[in-house]
Amino acid sequence: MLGKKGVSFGLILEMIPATLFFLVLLVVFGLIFFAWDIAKSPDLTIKSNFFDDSGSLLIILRTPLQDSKSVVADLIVNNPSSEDIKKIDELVRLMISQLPKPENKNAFWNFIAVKDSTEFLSIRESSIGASNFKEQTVYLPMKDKSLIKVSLFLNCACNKEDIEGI
Amino acid sequence: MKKGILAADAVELLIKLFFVFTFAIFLYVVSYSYLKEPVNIANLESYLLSRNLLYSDSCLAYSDEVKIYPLQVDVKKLSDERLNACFSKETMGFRVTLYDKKGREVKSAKSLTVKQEGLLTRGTKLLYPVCNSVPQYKCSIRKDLVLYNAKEDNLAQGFLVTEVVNFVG
Repeated sequence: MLGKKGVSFGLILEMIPATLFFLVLLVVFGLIFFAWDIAKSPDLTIKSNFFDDSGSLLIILRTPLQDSKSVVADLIVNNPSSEDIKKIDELVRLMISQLPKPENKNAFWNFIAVKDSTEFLSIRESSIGASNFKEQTVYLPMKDKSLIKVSLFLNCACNKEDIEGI
Repeated sequence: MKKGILAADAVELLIKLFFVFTFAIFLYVVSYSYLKEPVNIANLESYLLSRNLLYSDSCLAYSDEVKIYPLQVDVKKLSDERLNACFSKETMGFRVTLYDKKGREVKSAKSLTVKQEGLLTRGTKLLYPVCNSVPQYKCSIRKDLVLYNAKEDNLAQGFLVTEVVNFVG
């Protein structure tokens, strides 16, 4: 001890745990902020797919059927016969085959209509290890007040960056 | 003795100040690097442009006396003048082309300066070779499923392709 108010040699010893804790904090946060985050994404990207609407699905449902004034949604909610389902299937397949997909990736647009937990209209194609992206869902009311859930999504073995800009 | 106490106080103060300054510098570097980080919003801007075109009556959305029909393109509205009036941003230019379901062009219009038009020139191997060679610009393309009025009261399904050139600095 140098004096009552003086610095003690014990000061350094007292501060060793605090100093170590401080250094650990600096190293950990340094890694989080610089090595992990900034090195991983040099450009902070605000992704447009977070703001996606259900536009594509709405257009599919509003597309008029050939030689008829009704649209796809009308046929879906009016207890479609197997022939009607075949007609919708053909038309929707043509439309979703032209929707944009990531290049050089296994990607498929899927269209599903579910009533009472039963898929009565299903255009499904998927690949192993793929996830669903850009999911759009619309509920169509039927005359008996039950609902039909119609979904459109992209099944793709890709990451979020591949989907960006589609 | 007093001098010794003062010196000891100074050493203690210096040690404490060292920690305070180290932490302050760390916080400053972290905040600075985040504030200075470039933010890429080119794709978001293209998306917002396409929504503006397809949802706004003053752009391409079809409307009658009663209501506006979002995502339904009024072919008559697809003109250079209309596009220039409905959306303008100095650093951004775009070309809009409507295709039918078989991929045939129905109509096209643009809101581009001569320079931007040059940047949006299409290549054979690369989509936009000129734009790719200029790092200050980013070119992107969007394809949206739409309905359009093919003839009077006759709706058809097609695609609206929006090509955007953006100055990113």
